[in-house]
Amino acid sequence: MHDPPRAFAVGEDGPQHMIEFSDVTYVYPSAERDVAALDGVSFSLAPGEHVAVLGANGSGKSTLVRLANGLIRPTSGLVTIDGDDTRDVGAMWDVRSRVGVVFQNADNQIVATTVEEDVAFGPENLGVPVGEIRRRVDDSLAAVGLTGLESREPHQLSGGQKQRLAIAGVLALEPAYLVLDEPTSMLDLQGRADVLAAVEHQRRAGRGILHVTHHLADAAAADRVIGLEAGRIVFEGPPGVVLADEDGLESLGVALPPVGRLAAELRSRGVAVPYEAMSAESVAAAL
Amino acid sequence: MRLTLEDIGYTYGEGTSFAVRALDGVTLSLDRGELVLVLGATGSGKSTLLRIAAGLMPPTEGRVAIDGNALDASRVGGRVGLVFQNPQTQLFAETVEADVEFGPRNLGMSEEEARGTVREALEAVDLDPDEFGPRSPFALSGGEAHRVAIAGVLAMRPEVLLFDEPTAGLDAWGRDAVTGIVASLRAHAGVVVVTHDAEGFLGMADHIVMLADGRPVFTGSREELLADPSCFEQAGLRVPDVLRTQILAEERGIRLGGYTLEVVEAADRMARGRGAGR
Ligand SMILES: Nc1ncnc2c1ncn2[C@@H]1O[C@H](COP(=O)(O)OP(=O)(O)OP(=O)(O)O)[C@@H](O)[C@H]1O
Ligand SMILES: Nc1ncnc2c1ncn2[C@@H]1O[C@H](COP(=O)(O)OP(=O)(O)OP(=O)(O)O)[C@@H](O)[C@H]1O
Ligand SMILES: [Mg+2]
Ligand SMILES: [Mg+2]
Repeated sequence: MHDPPRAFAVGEDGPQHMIEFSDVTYVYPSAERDVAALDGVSFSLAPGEHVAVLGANGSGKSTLVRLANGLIRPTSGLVTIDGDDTRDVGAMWDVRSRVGVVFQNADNQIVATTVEEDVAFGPENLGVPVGEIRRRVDDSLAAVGLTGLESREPHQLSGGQKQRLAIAGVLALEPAYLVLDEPTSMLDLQGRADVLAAVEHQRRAGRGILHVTHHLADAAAADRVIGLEAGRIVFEGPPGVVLADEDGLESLGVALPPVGRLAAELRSRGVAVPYEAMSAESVAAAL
Repeated sequence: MRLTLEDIGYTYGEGTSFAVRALDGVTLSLDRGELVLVLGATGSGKSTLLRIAAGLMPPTEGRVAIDGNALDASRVGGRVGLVFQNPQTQLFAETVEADVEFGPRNLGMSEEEARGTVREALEAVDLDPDEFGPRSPFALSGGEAHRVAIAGVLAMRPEVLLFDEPTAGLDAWGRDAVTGIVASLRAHAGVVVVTHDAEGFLGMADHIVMLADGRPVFTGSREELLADPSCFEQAGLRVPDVLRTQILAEERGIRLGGYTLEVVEAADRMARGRGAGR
């Protein structure tokens, strides 16, 4: 049997608690073109940290996500999770249980025949006690607003409901790190706000969050932003700096949302709207 | 060309213990040159409505017709095109080129014409045909695959286009390309867009249908919607930010004299109202 997964808060290995990419390059084996999807990428994600990843279509975000939980292994360079090398087959189980991933396509993530079994699947595999599984399933479904749909078949859900289910499945794992690949692409504004709130809750509980998004408002909520362009990190820093850099944003395939443009128009009319204002409330408050 | 959906009802698993009422009393009509926007929260019935409009499944109640004739999926023959919410499920061929070419060839277009159409369609979604054409559609990023699925439907040149979340997963340039496509399609086709990005499309919508639990809570023009934005809340949706900023401004005593979807116009009115108020 596998060793039980270590709790994220236990620091028995000294200073190594983080997801760490060191000079990682990845070339898809199927690619006829010898183009690296990721090229010399180095960064780290610590527990309790919320990092957003921005980048245009095809810039390498999902490749980075697959590397983060060992689903694929670097062509060169090193990915370590709390010091464990993802190439080390013996550590694979441990790595997967500590890095919970919501993949871009929620359909590919569904494994069971009912909603609640699907959410219970992960914790069952980790050997979590039955009563505890019940609590996790209920809490996770509540966090994503799926309470009441427990006995539905997952393929009978709407697009947004499937995406919520995928998020609930990962919350129930209670992993040390949550890696989310455009987890709200099918959700309405309220749904997006709910997921961001759930993510913030996880961060405060000490989990590390890596959030891939095309939305600037999501990036504004992070502690740090990583910008990818053609497989390379071209930006790393606090959200305030990215938000103020229009050319930089363009190269990352992100645009100011309409409310951000409204804020800019108001600034040019002498209204002091702060650059971080990315919501109706914060813009109206400046009037 | 006119597509009409009359008093549509739909129940999944009808007559079983797990029946789900997905649509109830939805009426919609679409003429050539029109854009109808369908808004609604998660699970409100939007994708179900599009599948019915595309003739992929018959409604449990009500009638779907093209120019007055009942819609028959076997005879729709490329007149109605649907881009699915999960467009990856729409890709099947060995290369991107072959995938996009399949529809028009199937409709009887000559090889040469189809080839030109494929290039045009890929360019429309901002994918370089020389780079992406020969690649496998299953070895693409999420946004690239989504673009290919859109191109595949565009290449058939349908008279009615139904888009389910066409901007989901696209970067800002992809979203711009899609809104551009929708705008230019209106010259010769009717378009229905289902989206959570209301702000991206409201400015060009002729009609808006808002669903809540399968029922229409608002049907009307953009002007009617602006006159009473409370229907967003009735549909369980957040009011889009630019509109919501104007509502909050009025609550703060800034007189705007009506709401607008235009960012510049909204800023003008706010700056003016603010000056007048102080
Ligand atoms: N299975 C694969 N085989 C070969 N190349 C691939 C494969 N998957 C992705 N690629 C290519 O690798 C690059 C990076 O893809 P990736 O999926 O990481 O992009 P992304 O940033 O997630 O984009 P998106 O925003 O569209 O999801 C792209 O050029 C893509 O075409
Ligand atoms: N195959 C199915 N069997 C049973 N119920 C279904 C099926 N497909 C969808 N439903 C249910 O029907 C309702 C409407 O689903 P639909 O997919 O039309 O919603 P939607 O408005 O497109 O939502 P979203 O924004 O999440 O994509 C939902 O409650 C959903 O759970
Ligand atoms: Mg991706
Ligand atoms: Mg849908």
